[in-house]
Amino acid sequence: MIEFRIDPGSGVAPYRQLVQQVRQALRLGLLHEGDQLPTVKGVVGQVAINPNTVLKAYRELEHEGLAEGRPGLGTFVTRSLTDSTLAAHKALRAELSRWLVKARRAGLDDDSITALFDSTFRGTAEEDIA
Amino acid sequence: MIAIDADHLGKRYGQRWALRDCTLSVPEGHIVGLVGANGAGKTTLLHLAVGLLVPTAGTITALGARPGAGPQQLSRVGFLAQDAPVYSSLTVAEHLRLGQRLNPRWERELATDRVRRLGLDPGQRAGRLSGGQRSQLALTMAMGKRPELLALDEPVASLDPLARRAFLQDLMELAADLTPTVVLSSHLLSDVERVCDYLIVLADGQVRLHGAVDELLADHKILTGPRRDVQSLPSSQEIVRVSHTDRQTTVVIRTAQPVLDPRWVVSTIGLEELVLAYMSSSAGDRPTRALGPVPA
Amino acid sequence: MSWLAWRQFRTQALLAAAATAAIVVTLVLTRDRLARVAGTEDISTALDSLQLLGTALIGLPAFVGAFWGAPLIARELETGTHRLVWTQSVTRGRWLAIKLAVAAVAAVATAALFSATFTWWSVPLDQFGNRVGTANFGQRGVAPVAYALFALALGTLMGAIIRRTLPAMAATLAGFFVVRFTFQWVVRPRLRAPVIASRPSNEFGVQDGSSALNGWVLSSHPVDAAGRAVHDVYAGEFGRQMARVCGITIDSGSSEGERIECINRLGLTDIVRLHPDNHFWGLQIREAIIFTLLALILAGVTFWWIKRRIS
Repeated sequence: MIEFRIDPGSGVAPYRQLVQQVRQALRLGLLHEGDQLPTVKGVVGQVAINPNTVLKAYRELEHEGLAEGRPGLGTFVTRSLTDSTLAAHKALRAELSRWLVKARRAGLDDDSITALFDSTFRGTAEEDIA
Repeated sequence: MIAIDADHLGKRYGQRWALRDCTLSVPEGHIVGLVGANGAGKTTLLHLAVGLLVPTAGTITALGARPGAGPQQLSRVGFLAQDAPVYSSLTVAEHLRLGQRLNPRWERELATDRVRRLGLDPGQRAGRLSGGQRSQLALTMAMGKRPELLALDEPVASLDPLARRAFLQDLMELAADLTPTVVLSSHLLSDVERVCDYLIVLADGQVRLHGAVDELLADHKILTGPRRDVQSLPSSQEIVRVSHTDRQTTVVIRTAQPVLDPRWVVSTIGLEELVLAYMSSSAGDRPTRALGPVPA
Repeated sequence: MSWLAWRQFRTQALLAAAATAAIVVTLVLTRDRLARVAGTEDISTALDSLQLLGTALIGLPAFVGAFWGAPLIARELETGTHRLVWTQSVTRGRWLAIKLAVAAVAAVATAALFSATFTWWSVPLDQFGNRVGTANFGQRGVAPVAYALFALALGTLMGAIIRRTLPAMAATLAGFFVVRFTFQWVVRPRLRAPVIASRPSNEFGVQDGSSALNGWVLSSHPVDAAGRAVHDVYAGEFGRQMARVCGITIDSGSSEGERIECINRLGLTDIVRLHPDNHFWGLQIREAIIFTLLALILAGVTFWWIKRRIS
C-alpha cells in the first residue's frame, strides 16, 4: 500500500502533492492497474490533513483517467504509466548516461550540468509553445 | 446549511468587550481554523457557539438553533474545552459510561474501540493520564455522541509534537468518518494549514477575515516594488497591510482582478503571511480606502 | 445523570456513613450507663455530657453544608469539568437538580439518624433536662433535618458564587452559624407566644431549689406581693416596706439571713416568660418550616445563578 507524505514547505498544494505521489508510484511500478488506493480515512489517519484534500486529489486522478471510484468499494487504479515505451525508456537512459560522461569529461560539475539541462529544457519547451 | 451564524455578536465582561460586532456565516462540512493571538476572543467565540456563554449583544445560532437550548441542541454539538478537563477521580471507563448516560445517542463501540486502539487502560483514573492521553479522552467524550458540530479550543497547544500529530491524525479520521463541521482554535499556523479549509481570523475581539482558504489565498497577493505612495493603487485592490523600508514598499492586497502595473512584482501569499497581515494591522490604522466587497 | 451524581458523591457519602456509624455506636454503648446514672447524684455529670454532645452536634448541619454543598458546584468550576459536563446532552437545570437531590437525600437521612439517636440517647435525662433549652433543641426532633437542608442549599449557592471550594466552605460555615444563632436568639422566642408563669423568686440571693421551672426561660423579673416590679430590694416601695416591717435598710448592718427572712416574709415572686416543655413540637415544626423555606429559596437562586451567570 502506498504511503503518502505532505511537504508543507514545497510550495505545491497538498492535493497536487498527493496526485504527484500516485503518479510517481505508478511510474515506478509500485502501483498497478486494479490496485486499490488507500481510503480517505486511511490517508488522513496517516498524514493528518483535511479529508477534502484527499477527495480533491482522487477526483483529479479520476479526471486524468488514472483512477476510478467505485461506490462502497473504494478508489482503484485504472491505468498504469509504465506499460508503454519501456524499451524506449531504456534507450533514452543509455543515451543520457553517455551524454553525462561527455559532460563530465568536458569539465562540468553537478550544478553546471543541472543548469545546462534546465535552460535547454525550458528553451525547447518555449519553442514548442511558440 | 450554515453551521455557525453570528450577527453583530458581542460579549462584554464588566467594562471590557471580549468580542465585539462579530458577523460570520460558517458553512457546514468544513474544518474551520479559528486563529488569533491570546486574548483575541477565540475562547469566547467558541463558548458562545456551544452555549456555555450568553451574548451581551447580537445573536448567534449553531446548526440553526440557539446554542445550549435544551438537550436536543446540546446533543448535536460537541465541545473540547481548553486544557481538556476531565474528572480526575473517574476512570477512563467511567468517563465513557458518563458519555453513554448523559447523551441520547452515544457510539459505544466507536468509543471503546478508540480507547483500546489508543492504548488507554480503561481502569486508569483520568487524573493519572498524560496530557496527550487526556486530550484523546476528551476528544472521545466530545465525538462519542456523533455531533454535527464539533468545537475544539486549542486542543493541541500543550502537547508534544508526537502527541500533537497523533491527535490531529485521529481528529481527521473522525472527520472523514462522521463528517461533522469542525471548528478548532489554534495559534499554530502550521497545523491550521494542514488541516483547515475554512479560516476565521480574530484580533482584539473582532473578526478580521473569514472565508474558504482556497478562495482567500487566490484573492490575496503580495506586491513588492520600489518605495512609493500606495494611494495610487486602483480601488479594486483592497489594501490589507503596507510596509515601507527606505527603498522598498511591500503591500498585501485583496483583489479579484489581475495586477497590471508593471512596477510591482506580484507574488502569491501563503497562509501564514495572510493571517499575520490581518492580525497585525489594527482596525484603527488600516487605510480607509476600498472597503466593502471586492467588485467582480 | 443520577449515576454520575451518585458516583461523584460516593466518597463523601462513605465518609459520612463511617462517621455516623462511629457516633451511633458510641451512643449505643454509653446509653446503659447513662440510664443507670440517671437517678443518682452523678446526674449533673450526665447532663454535662448531654450538653457536650449536643454542642458537638450543632456542627453537623454546618458540616453537611460545607463539605457536601460547597464543592457541589465549586469543584466543577475550579477544575473546569463544568465545560465537559454541560456540553454533554444534559441541561444545567437537570444537572443541578439531580446532584442536589442526591446530596439532599443523604443530608436528610444523616440528620434524621442523628436526631433520632440523640433523642433516644437522652430519654433517661429528659425528666431532668430540658428539651426546649438552647443546648439540645436544635439537635433533636425535625430541626436538624431542616438545618441540614438549609446548610446544603447555602453551601451550594456559595460554591456557585465564589467558584472556589475552600473559600466557599468557609463562607458557608460562617453564614450558617450566623443564621442559626441569630434565629435562635431573635426569632425562636417569638415563634409562639411564651407562657407567663410565676415562682418564688430566685433573685437577690433568695434561693429555693424547688422553684426550677422546666422549660426555656426567656426572661424573669421579680415583683412584690402587690405585683410591682422590684429592681433593688433596698430601693423604692419594697425598700420602704423592708425598713417599715423588718427595720432593714441598706446601712442598717443586718446579716444576709435576716435580709432573706424579711424578703420571704414580704413575699417576692418572679414573673417568668418561658417556653415550657410542651411547646417543644410547636417550636420545632415552625422552625423547621422556616429553614426549609430558606433552603428552597437559596436553591432557587442557585438555579438562576448557574443558568445566567457562568461560562
